[in-house]
Amino acid sequence: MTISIQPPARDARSTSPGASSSGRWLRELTLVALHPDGPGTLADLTRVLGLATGAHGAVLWEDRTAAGPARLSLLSRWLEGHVAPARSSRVAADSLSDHALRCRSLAIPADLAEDQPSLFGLPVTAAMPVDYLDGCRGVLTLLGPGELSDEAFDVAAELVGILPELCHTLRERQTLALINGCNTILHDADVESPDQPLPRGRLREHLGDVCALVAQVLPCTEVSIFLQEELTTEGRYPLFARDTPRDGGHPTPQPGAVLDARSNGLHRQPRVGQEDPPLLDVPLRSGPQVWGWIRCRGTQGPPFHFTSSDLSLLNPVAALLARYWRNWLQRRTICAENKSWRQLAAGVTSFNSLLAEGCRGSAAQDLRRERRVAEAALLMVSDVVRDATGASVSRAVIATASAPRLVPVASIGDADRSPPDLSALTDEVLRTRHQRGTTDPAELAGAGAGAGTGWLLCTPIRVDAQVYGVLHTRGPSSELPANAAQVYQIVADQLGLYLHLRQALGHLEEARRSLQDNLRSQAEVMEDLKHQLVSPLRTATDRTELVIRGGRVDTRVETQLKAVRGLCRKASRVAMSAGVFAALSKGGLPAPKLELLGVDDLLRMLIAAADDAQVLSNPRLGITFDVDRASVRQLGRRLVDVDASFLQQCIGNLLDNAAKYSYPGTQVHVGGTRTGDELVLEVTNTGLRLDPADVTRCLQRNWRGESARNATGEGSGIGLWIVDHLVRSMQGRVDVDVAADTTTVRLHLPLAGAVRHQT
Amino acid sequence: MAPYFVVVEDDHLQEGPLQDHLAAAFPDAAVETLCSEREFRERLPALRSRPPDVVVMDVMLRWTLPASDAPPPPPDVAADGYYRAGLRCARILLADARLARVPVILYTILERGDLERDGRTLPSSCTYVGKNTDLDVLSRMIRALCRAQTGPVRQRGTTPAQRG
Repeated sequence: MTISIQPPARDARSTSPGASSSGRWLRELTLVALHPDGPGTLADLTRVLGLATGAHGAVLWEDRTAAGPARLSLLSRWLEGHVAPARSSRVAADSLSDHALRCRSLAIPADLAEDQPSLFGLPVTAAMPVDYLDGCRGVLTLLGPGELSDEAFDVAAELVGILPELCHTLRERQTLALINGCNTILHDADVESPDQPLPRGRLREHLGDVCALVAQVLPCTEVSIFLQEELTTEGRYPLFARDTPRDGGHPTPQPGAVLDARSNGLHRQPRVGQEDPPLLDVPLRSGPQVWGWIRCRGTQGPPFHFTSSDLSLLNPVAALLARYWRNWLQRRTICAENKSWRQLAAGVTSFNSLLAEGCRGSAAQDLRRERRVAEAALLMVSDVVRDATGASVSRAVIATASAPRLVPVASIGDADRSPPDLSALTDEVLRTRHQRGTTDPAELAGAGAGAGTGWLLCTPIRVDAQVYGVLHTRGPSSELPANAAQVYQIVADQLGLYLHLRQALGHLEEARRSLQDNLRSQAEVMEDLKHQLVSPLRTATDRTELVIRGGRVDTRVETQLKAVRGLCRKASRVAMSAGVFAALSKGGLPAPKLELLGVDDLLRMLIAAADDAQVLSNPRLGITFDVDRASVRQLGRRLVDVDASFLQQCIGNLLDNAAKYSYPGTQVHVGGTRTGDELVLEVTNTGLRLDPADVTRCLQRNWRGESARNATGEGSGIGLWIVDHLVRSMQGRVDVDVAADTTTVRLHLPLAGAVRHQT
Repeated sequence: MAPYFVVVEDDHLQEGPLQDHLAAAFPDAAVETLCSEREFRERLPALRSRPPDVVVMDVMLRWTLPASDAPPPPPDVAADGYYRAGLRCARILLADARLARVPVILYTILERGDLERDGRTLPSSCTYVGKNTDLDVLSRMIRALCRAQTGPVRQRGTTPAQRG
């Protein structure tokens, strides 16, 4: 900013500023450094000093020579408007100022009329030493028009006394303002793209703004930023951004773009007489690493060189830029990695679908499927690891006991054109079962890799200790791409799992076939046993029946014979159940031999079954079995079309269950109902409670109710399952009804279309 | 003192002939029949006061007879189920200080190999007799076990002199 100060009237200055005006100029001077809107410039300070002393010009000098004779260089100047400023960039100090510097005291000309020193065409009226706070010495030189009055001298002395503090404050505030400005620019850059690193073009524009701000503050004619994306030892830093776009905005290499990273950023002064503009190079350093440089070139106005203050001002900007650039690179890397992981995840998902599809079907298609899966895997990895130029999958085939042989399965890229000899790497991978890669030029050359190959990687396709093959990949860069090793290992593991799964499925398929064969032969044996059992049991039943009917036995023997008959029937039923079980187990269905049964046939069957159940039930329990004949007679002259032995089996199973689970002293009721076109036979008992939720489940194979399992423990849970199958084979259905302790199982049997005529 | 046998058998169709056989083979013996594991456990205090000379134990044994007020089975029964209940009962006897020396005949339709499957061993007090063998084998085994414990057991139709 420029501080506007109203100069005192000419006539007032010609006399003296007066002691009372000293305070005013002190305030003006302080305001330049401490103005709430921002600091002014050294030129502003110089101007106030000149105006306060009634001079026509004022020059501020500094001496930064570390050794040798002191030499003043111009720091800032103010010349009243009507005096034409000198255009030279290099101004030699006058003798009076040199004297003030050497003697560290006020110097005034001895005689204004004779040989008076002058600067910028104005006579030098006074020179006062200044001691800057950074240890540097300097001089304030006042110019014309006349001799300095005592009051003006007093004012000048007072103002020069606080000049070092104000210069220091001014610089501090300038630095702070510059940092804030740069921070704001970089913050805007972050806000513009919060989720991803800013695109390179936009970042260049923002850094151009930083350059412009620096150019304005220093001030200098040109500011450039050079940045390196990968740390190299070459020290080559391409131009990245400038304060004003040149060459159509496209950065071009400049002289000095190759910088010595060990340089400390010291500014370079042009030699006297040399027209090269001054340069100030400051490294963008983050820790020990130099990511780039910020270069200021040429100055605008005095001083016509860069000062150490400029370097101090630029250093925090450089640190800020280095930090921002490093973060930008990191964000770019992370984003690229995230993108590759996302691609991998998507790839793995679709790959898994392919694997699932590949696991179906017969073993005859294995090889073709394996090739398809391998090709899909290779496409996926080439999509994720862009740097890879060739990849192939080989399957390990056990040729001898010790060394597996590799058979190519699929390849993409240049892998199929001139594959290098990877036997050494592959042997190691097969032996160690670990991934192995190389970027060693000697090793690559040894493997016969072409000039375009910078890395090779062999990844085992394995599950635990079993190696199924190897995934070979390669690419041109001198380093393995980020994530490449993990990506290849993940994909190789997927392939390994697929092959392992295929192998396991093959074994399972074999086991299933063998099990089916076994089951079939067992079922056949069981069916054969059934036939062998049922026939003699039927004969034994019939013969016992004959003896009982003969009536030539006493009551005790008759009871025993009835028990034997019941046992024979039960054994016969169990044998039949075994046959049905065998048929169902091998996937068959029971085949009924349907016949028409009338009410008398049914009653005979039910009564015989109830008698058997009664004889076989434990007399200590006192359970009675009763057939409700009247209910069954509702069938009238209608007939049911059923398999008599199936129905006998069903009723027997239901009565067995009733005998097993009924409470002592209860009655098992056997009855019938005719509803519509069906006859419903039902067995009701009171005993262990069946959970209503289990009503449908109780017809399932091997299902047993909680209370039955807890109370008795016996039974295998196939009785009702067999009943259900038998009834359904006769086009009927079974339902179970539960009410508290009472369970009713109903067999719904279809009525035949024909009727039986009364005989 | 008259021999005392306990038969643990839940199938009344088998229990009847067995009772008849034992009564015929050991006329002086007292035979008590228990028809569930629960009944066996409830009788344990009484058995401690008069330990039986031999226990004839079925292996597949129901926990209890159906009853509306039957308590739920203890955890070990619920966990191990019904298929090896007789072995569980034999182990209870063996673990009981008063009943540990009572010989147990495992009288079962199961094969011995079924009982010793998966490296299992029979309790040390147990002797195996298959149900598919003749009942005389069972009575001979009972006699041998009684003799080993208390001396000869009177058998119908023989005298001590005849037995030698």
